[in-house]
Amino acid sequence: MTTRRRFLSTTVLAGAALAGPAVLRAQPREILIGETHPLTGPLAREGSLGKRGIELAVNEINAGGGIAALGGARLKLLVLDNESKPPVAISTMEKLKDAGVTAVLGPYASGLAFVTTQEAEKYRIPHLLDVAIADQITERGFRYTFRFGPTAGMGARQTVEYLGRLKQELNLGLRRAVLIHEDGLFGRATADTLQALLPSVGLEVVERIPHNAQAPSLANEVLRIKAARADVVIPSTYYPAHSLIVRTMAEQRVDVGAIVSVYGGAGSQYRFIKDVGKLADYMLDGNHWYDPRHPRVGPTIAVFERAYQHPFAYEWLLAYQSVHVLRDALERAGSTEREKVREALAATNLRDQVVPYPIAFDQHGQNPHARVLLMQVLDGRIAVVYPPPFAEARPVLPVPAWDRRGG
Amino acid sequence: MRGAGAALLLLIAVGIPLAVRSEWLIGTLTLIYFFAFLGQGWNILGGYAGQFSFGHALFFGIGAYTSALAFIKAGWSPWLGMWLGAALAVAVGLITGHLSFRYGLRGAYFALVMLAFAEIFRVAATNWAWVGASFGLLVPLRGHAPALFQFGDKRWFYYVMLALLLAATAGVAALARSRLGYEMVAVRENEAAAAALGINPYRVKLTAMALSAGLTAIGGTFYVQYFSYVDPGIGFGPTNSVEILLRPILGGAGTVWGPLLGSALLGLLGEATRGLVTAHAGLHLMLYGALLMVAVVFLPHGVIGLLRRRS
Amino acid sequence: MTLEVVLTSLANGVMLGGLYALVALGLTLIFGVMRIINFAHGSLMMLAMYATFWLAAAAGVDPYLSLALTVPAGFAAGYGVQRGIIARVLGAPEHSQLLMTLGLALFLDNLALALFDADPRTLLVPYSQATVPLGPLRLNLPRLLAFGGALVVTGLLALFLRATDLGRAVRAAAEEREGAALCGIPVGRVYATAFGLGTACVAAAGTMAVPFFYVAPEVGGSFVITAFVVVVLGGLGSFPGALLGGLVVGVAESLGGLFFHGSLAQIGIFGLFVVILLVRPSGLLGTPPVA
Repeated sequence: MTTRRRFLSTTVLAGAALAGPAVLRAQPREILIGETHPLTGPLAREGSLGKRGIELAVNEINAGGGIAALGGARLKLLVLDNESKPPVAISTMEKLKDAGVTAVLGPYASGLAFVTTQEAEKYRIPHLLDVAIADQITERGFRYTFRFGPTAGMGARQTVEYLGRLKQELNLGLRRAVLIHEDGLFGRATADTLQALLPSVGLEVVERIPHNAQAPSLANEVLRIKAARADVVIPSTYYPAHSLIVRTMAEQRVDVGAIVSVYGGAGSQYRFIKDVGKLADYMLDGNHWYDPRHPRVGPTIAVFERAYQHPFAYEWLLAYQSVHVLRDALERAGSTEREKVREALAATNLRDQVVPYPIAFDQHGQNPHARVLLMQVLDGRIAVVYPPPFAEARPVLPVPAWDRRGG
Repeated sequence: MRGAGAALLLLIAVGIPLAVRSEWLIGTLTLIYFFAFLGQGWNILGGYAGQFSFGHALFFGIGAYTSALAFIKAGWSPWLGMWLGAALAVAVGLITGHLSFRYGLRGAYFALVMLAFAEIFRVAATNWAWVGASFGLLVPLRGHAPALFQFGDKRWFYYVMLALLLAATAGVAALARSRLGYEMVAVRENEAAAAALGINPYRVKLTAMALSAGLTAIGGTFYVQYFSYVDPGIGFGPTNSVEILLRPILGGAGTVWGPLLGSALLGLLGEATRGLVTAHAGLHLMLYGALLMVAVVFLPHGVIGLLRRRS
Repeated sequence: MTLEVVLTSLANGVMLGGLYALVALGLTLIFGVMRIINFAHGSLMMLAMYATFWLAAAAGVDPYLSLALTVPAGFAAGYGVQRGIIARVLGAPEHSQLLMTLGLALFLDNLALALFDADPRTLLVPYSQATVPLGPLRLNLPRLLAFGGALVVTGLLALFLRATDLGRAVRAAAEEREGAALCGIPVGRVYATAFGLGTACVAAAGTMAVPFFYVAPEVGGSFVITAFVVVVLGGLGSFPGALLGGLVVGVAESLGGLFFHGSLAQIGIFGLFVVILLVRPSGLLGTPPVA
C-alpha cells in the first residue's frame, strides 16, 4: 500500500529532522540501505552476526561524519528478517524495493542469495553479498550482484593449493584422502571440486562419504574413515556435523595425519574451541579470515567484542566489510541513484582492507582476487598458518595422535 | 447474498494490481491465492474424502521438478510441462493410493505413509545428479516471456494464480454437489456403511487422490516459475506438506471456501505478526504458534464452522 | 569393511535404537490413550535437553543426576499441557488436535529460540570420550548409559502400568475409552497422567542424549520424525512395538549408513516403513483395528 511507503519515508524524514539541534543549518540527508538476513530459523545465529557486523560498520561510518560526497549524509539501515526461507527472502526484497533503498546487503546463505540476487536484478537494485559462496550466484550474467569474497570453488582450489605446497615444503608423506561432506548444495559442490583437484597435489581420494546434514550420529561415517586408513580427512559440512565428526573421531581413536576442512562449519570458529576444548586442537581450515597484518583488525575486533560480547567470527567480518565497499562506492558515485551506485560499485578498486585481498569486480560481479587463508587451532587460538605473507605461526603437521595429546 | 459477496471480492481482487503500487502487497496476495489453491487440492482428498495426507509435498514436488526439468532439458514451455507434471503426479498418486487403500491403511497410518513417500522422493532427489541433487534446479531467466510462463512484472503472476484459484474453487464446488462428491463424504463419515450402500470406497478414495494430486502438482509448477528455484527440501520437504494442509484445516476442511479463508487468515496473521515484532528473533513465530492454538480452541471446525454456527 | 567395523556399527545401532525406543514409547503412550499425534513431542524433548544443559553448565549437575529433576518436571509439564491445552480439543475432529500440537510445537521451538538463541550447544562431560571395551569393540560410554537408562525407564513404566491402579486405569482407557469412563475411571485425570508419562519418557531420553548430542532449538525435529516412524512401525499404542521398532530402526539406520551413502539409508528406513505397513497395517505388534 502507498500508505506504508509514505509512513516509512515520513519516519525517515522525521527522524532526520529530530536528529540535530533545530538550527538554520540544513540537516544532512539519510541514505537508506536495505539489509536482509536470517534472524530466525536455522541460520539465525549467522544472520544475527551479519546484522551486528553491518551495524558496527554503519555506526563507525556515521560517527566518522557519514558520506562526505553527499554532504555528510548518514547511513540508515532497514533490516528485515528473511527467516532463513527463500520465499520470505523474496518478500523482504519486495519490501526493500517499496521502501526505496539505495542498495541491499546480506543475505548470508547461498540458498537465500539465489533468490535475493534475482529480485535485485529484476528491480535493478545494487546488491552486495556478504558470505554466500555458491559459484553459480555470480555466473548468471547479473549486473546488480556484487560479491567481494571468495566462492566455494575458489576456496576449494586455494585450500588444495596450500595443502600441496605445504606437503612439498614440509616433505609430508600424506597420500590417502577421505572426503566427508554434507548432502546439500555446499557439501557436494565442494567435494566435487576437491575430488577433481586433489590428485594434482599427490593426494588420492580413496573414499567419499556423503552424510545427512541432520544426522544425530555420525559413527558409521567415522568408521568408514577408519576402514579407509585415511592420511587426510577433509570435511565440508556445517557446524553440528563437523563438531560431531571430530568428537567421534576422538572417541573412536581414529588417527589421521590431518583434518583439513574447506569452509568448515566448525573450522575457524571460536565457539568450537569453547565447546570441545582440547579436541579442537590442530584442526586446519581454509576459510574467510582477516589480514593479520592490518592495523585496523585488532581495534575493530575489540570494539565488536565489547559491544556484543562475542569473539571474532568471519560472518560478521564479511558483513562489516560489505558496508565499507558500499561506502566507497557511494563516495565515488556522489549520488544515491541506484544506477550511479551500481556503476560505482562495478568500478571498485580497493586495497588495504581488513580482508586479505584487494577488491575489484569482474563483469560478472565477482571479485577475482578474493582468497581464503589456511588456519590452524593452536593452543586454543586460531592462527593463520598459510600462505607465508599472512602466516602468524608454523603449522603442526602431521597432527599428534589423540592419545598423545595433552589434556 | 453469497453470490453478491463473492462477486464483490472478485472485483476487488481483479482491481487491486491496477490500483496499487506496492510490490509487497501484490506478492503477498499472490502467495495467499497460491496457498489457497494448494489447499483446495489437499481439500479434495483430506477434506471431502477424509483421507488425511501428511505428505502432499510429494505431488507438489513432482509438479515443480517435472515442469522445470522439461524446460531446462528439453525446452518445453512450462505451460505444457505443467500438464506433464500433473499427469506424473496423478500416476504416483494412483500407485501410492492403490498401495495404501488396497491394504487398508487408514487415519494416522495413511497420513504418515504419505509423509514417508514424500520423504523417499526428497532423499532420492537429493542424491540424483540429473535433477540437480541437493542443489536443486534454477530456472534460466528469460525476462518477460509469457509463452514460457515467465513474467517481468509480478502482476501477471498475480492474475494467473487468481485464475487458477477460481478454476479450482469452482471445480471443488461442482465436485461437492456431484454424485462423486457425496460418495466421498459418505466414505469419510463411515466407510463401512458407505460400502454397504453400494459405494466402492477404494475407487472413490483413489479418484479423490488422483484429482488432489493433479491439482497440487499444478501448484508446484506455478511455484517454480514464480521463484525460479526449487530444491528437494522446498519441493518434497515435510515443512511444505504442513504448510499445504494448514490452510484448509484452519479455514474448514471439506468446504469450498475453507482453503481460501484459511489462507487469507494465515497470510494476514503471518504478515501482522511479522510486522509487530521485529526486535527479538523468533518472537513473531511464537506468536504465530500461539495464535494457531487459540484459533484451534475457538474455531474447532475451522473458520467456516464458526460462521455456520453464527448463521 | 572389516568385521570390527560392522559390529561397531551394529552396536551403535542398538544403543541409538534404545533411545529411539524411549522417545517412541512416550509418543505411543499418548497416542494409545488419547489418539493424539503429538507433534510437540520433539519440542518437549528439546526443552528437557536445554534444562539438562543449563543445569550442567551453570550448576555443574551431571546429566544423569539431573534426571531426578527433568523427569518429574517433564511429567508435570506434560500433565499441565494436557489439562490446560490438549483437553480443550479432545472432543474435536482429529485434525484440530493435530493443529493444536503443531501450534504448540511452533510456539515452544521459537520460545527456545528467543530465550536461548540458535547457537547449538555442546556439553562435554569428563567421560564424554570414555569407552567401554566389549570384545574387539569400544563402546562409547554415554551412549551405553543412555541405552541402559532407556531400558530402565521402560521397565519402570511397564511396572507402573501393570502394578498400580492408576497405571491399570491408563491401560484401560487406552484400550477402551468409553468403557473405562463407564466404569468410573476418571478419564480426564488418566489422560493427563498418560500425557505426563509420555512427556517424562521423552524428557528422560533428552537428558540422557545431551552428552553425545548437540542442543539447539531444532534438535527435537530430527528425533521426532524418526519417532513417528518407529511408533507406526511398532504399532500405535503398543509398548513392546515401540521397543522393537526403535531397535529395528536404530539398527537399520546404522547398518544402512555403513553400506549406503548418507541419506540413502533414510530411503531404506522409509521404504521399510512402507513395506511393513502394507504387510501388517497395524504395525509389527499393534492390534488390527476392529472393523
